[in-house]
Amino acid sequence: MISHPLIIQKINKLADQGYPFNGTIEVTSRCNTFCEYCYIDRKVRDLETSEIKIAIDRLDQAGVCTLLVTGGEPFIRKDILELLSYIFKKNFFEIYIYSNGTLLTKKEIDFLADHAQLINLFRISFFSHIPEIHDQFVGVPGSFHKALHTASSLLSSGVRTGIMVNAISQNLKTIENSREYFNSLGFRVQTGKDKILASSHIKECFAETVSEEFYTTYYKGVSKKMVADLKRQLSKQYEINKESQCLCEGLFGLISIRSDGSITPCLTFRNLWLGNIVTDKRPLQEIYTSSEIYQTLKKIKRSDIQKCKGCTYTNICVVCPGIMHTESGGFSEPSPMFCNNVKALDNVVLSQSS
Amino acid sequence: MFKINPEISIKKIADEIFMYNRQQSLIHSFNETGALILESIQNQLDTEQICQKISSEYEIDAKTAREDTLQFIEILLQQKIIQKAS
Repeated sequence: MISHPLIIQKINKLADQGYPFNGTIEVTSRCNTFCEYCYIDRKVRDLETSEIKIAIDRLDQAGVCTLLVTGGEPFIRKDILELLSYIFKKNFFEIYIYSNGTLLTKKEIDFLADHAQLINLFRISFFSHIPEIHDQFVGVPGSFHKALHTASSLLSSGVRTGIMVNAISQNLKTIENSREYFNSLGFRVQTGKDKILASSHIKECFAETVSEEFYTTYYKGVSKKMVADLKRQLSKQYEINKESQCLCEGLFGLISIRSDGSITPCLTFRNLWLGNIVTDKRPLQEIYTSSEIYQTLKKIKRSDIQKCKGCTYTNICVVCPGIMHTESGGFSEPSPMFCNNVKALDNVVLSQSS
Repeated sequence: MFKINPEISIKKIADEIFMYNRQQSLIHSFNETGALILESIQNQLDTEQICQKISSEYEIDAKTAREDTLQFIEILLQQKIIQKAS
């Protein structure tokens, strides 16, 4: 992980010249599970093997140092091991893989074990430590046990394996128990609560999960250690917001490739494209620096967001421009997720004594 | 003679050199002079040749170039970025 201020400064300087340091590649839009809040548009076509290799070459040559391989479900692709082999031979410093863990057989697990040193994290999503809740949410019976088998096999093979549990209505009150359960099995566990409500249907179905009440319940359930971590993060965010008006500190060091080769500044931007990594032959640096949208994006400041003017939480709030753009189509209205989250943080976390 | 630790990945982006030590999960970056010394090590130049190169490239006297280069090589060794070639 990059934490040294001097290196971050250098990365930001390069990003300003159009050299993204962190890349994401969605190798497919297809998935074998049916998580209702998923932001991936399954109608988007997948690149052919040779086209993905071109995309990987271009990311490597453009200076991308950390690469996240995700989907859809990456292991739904028949050529996934060929693609991962290709990625492992490139000069990426850090490689992350996100999966639902249900499609890996012994062959895939053995392959990953053979490359364990090159994988910084293999992350599997769970929605609960209770199999019924998980299976019901992903819509495929037996998913929990398959995914847990994969996770355990990878972990025992020496692959750095993590579990992500994202808060939804069905797990809200038991999410800390899920954290403890997966922790007790030896996994690195992350819990999250952010969502990209990419369509009106998802917005309607998941409105409750971005409400102040939802976040209040979420924060009331977190451990004391997590409260201390959150306070540290808020303090850091306060310093960042005091120093800079930039919407997202990391955004300009990012590049994200969708399954059809579309280039977006970050995977959170679901309906903004800068070009196509396969068909657009210009250097990535040029695609970035010549993009009018991208240049506009660079100029937008937190103080430009109309709805945030006069808000008492602007000093600690995080407003993701990608989610904002995906949900509202512009940069004038932050997702209610951010407003409700920061209110809950203030009411629950900041009010607790250390 | 030295060689780059095989656990290290090097990436040149524009004029910057970044190195990643997989064992330590650490990213290093170097300025232009550091990058030149590393490139010289990669090109299997010995210490004397590297000192001469630094001296001529930056038009500094041989003594200063030698002191600075050796000091930097020492740091690279301490950080396990390079190792003695067998």
